Amino acid sequence: MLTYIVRRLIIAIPTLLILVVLSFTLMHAAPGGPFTADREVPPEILANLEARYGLDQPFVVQVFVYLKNVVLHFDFGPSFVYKDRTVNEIIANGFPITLTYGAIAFAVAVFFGVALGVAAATHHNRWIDYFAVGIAIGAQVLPNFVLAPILVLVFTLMLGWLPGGGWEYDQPRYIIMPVIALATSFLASIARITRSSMLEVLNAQHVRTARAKGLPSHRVILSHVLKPALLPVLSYLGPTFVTMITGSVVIDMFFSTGGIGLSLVNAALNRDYSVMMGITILIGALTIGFNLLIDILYAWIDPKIRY
Amino acid sequence: MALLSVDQLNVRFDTSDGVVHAVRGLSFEVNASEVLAIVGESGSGKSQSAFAIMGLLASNGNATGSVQFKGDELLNKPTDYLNRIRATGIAMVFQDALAALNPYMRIADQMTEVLVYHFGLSQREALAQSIAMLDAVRIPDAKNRIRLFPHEFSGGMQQRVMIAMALLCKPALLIADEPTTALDVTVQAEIMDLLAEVRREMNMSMILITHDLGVVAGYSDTVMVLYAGQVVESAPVQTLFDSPGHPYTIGLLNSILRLDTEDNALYAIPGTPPNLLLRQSGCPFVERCEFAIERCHSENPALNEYRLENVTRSRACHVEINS
Ligand SMILES: Nc1ncnc2c1ncn2[C@@H]1O[C@H](COP(=O)(O)OP(=O)(O)O)[C@@H](O)[C@H]1O
Ligand SMILES: [Mg+2]
Repeated sequence: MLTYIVRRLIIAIPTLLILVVLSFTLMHAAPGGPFTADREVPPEILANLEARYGLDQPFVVQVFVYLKNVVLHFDFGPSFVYKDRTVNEIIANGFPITLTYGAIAFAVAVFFGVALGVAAATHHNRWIDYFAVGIAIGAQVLPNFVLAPILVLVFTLMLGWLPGGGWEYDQPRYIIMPVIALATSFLASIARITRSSMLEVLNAQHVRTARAKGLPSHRVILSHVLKPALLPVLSYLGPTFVTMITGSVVIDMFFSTGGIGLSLVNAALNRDYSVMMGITILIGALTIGFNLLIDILYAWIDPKIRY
Repeated sequence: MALLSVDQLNVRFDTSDGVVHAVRGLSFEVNASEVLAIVGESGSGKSQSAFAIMGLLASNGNATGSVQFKGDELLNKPTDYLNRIRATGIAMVFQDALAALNPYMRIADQMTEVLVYHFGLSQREALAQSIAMLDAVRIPDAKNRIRLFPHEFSGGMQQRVMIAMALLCKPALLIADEPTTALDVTVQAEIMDLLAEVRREMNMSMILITHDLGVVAGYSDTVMVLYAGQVVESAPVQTLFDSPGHPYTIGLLNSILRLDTEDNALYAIPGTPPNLLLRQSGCPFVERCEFAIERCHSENPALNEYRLENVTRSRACHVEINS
């Protein structure tokens, strides 16, 4: 097991390095990018860039300098647009917010999604099942850019219960609507995957054996159905978690939460390449990291996986 | 009173293509320490009969008729009621041991949970008894190997584990559903001998399900031949071998590889079993039967009990056969 983890880590590291080099190269090659002469860059920023990247140096040297900064110092360099801000500051400002409501939304989606899926499958073709499937379909056809304004309309404008936007870490009422808006469609997907996977496992031969042993139904579900049924859900959760704690552009726009999703959009609109690069690398690193985590979990749960 | 008595058992499945009549009018009895063999081709309804008895049918299946164990009706009873009889009264060994064992659980956990639940044993006592049972089915180094997962055993050992698991609560009746079909020929005999041995020692009754008439000879008292969900013949094992009374049984006997004859060519009954979705009026075997007369096409023969040379037996056929 340990050697498996080490081996997977050894593969993950070059993947990350390639990701960094690739995004730098893309940015370098982009037309109208900060490294081409056809764009007017304020002299202060140009000076910043010059100092950081050595724009007069050959490309290979520039890549190496960037790579060194990212890897050794987690330093993504200065912004191309804001004179006095670094990419790190921008990320440090927005990411904790996104991480907070994203992680809460993730927990909500997983808990209720799995519960709904299990309830539906264990009551197959009965009203709980139809109810759950109905909710899942409803939630899935309701994208968050539709759900978000509906939430604001109901809870802010009509009922006046919740603030329509903004962010305070210590005030849950700012978190509720972003969490609902973000969690709903993921909750629906998780419920759907859980349900169909449960239904499949419920028909598996080893479950018939468990029943033949005279175990009560809840024991059969808990110890013989749940584990294999949740494996497909688990593989969906890795990438989903990363998606939820990073780029929720819609949420940041509607609820003015100030998360990293907004930073990314702004960076794209302003052609703030270093910010885009920084956020891209962050998302990439998280994706690689969580996929690794899920694979390790898989190997731990499934005794048939050979390391 | 018979240990198990099944009366007019019907099993039907609702499918998108229509109703599948998997078992029709099945009736039989199993007495204490008796072995009944149920023989039939793949798809003849053997497993579904067993599942119906245990209350294990798939959700689209339903059973009618009567199944009584020690006088208690089991059919269509709630799970809680059946759980008092499962494992302790009737236990089951499944065809494909690897698929029937939980791949994610150590053998130890799969075995001890039965004892803990039914007898309220402590984890330690349950483990000790489980190891003893693995020893009894002659799994070497059971003390350590009980910690393994199913896929870490060979096919024959997996089936031994399955058998040990079924025997944990000392059931009065063991249903063994094709216990050797998934195994190598060399291992098959070992498993059959093991089953016969533990059955004798524990004085259990057994329903031995197989598609291979060759297997039943040394191991059963009575044989029931199933075709397309119906019993076509039932007789004491020696009688059936000596004087089969149904054309299908004759075909099955001919298709057993006889090592004692020169001619080793395997005989196969021509044709295929009927589609169970269609409920035809005549005998289900008529299309493949070399003895068929006109009446066989229009009228499904009933299972008739008769005595021949002081043996009670039954068959479902319109034609007189002198074999
Ligand atoms: N869940 C199900 N739905 C529909 N048909 C089924 C189902 N389970 C079994 N059957 C059908 O019932 C018939 C008898 O099956 P079975 O008892 O498993 O045969 P076997 O004698 O090989 O054990 C087969 O034709 C099979 O296709
Ligand atoms: Mg079968």
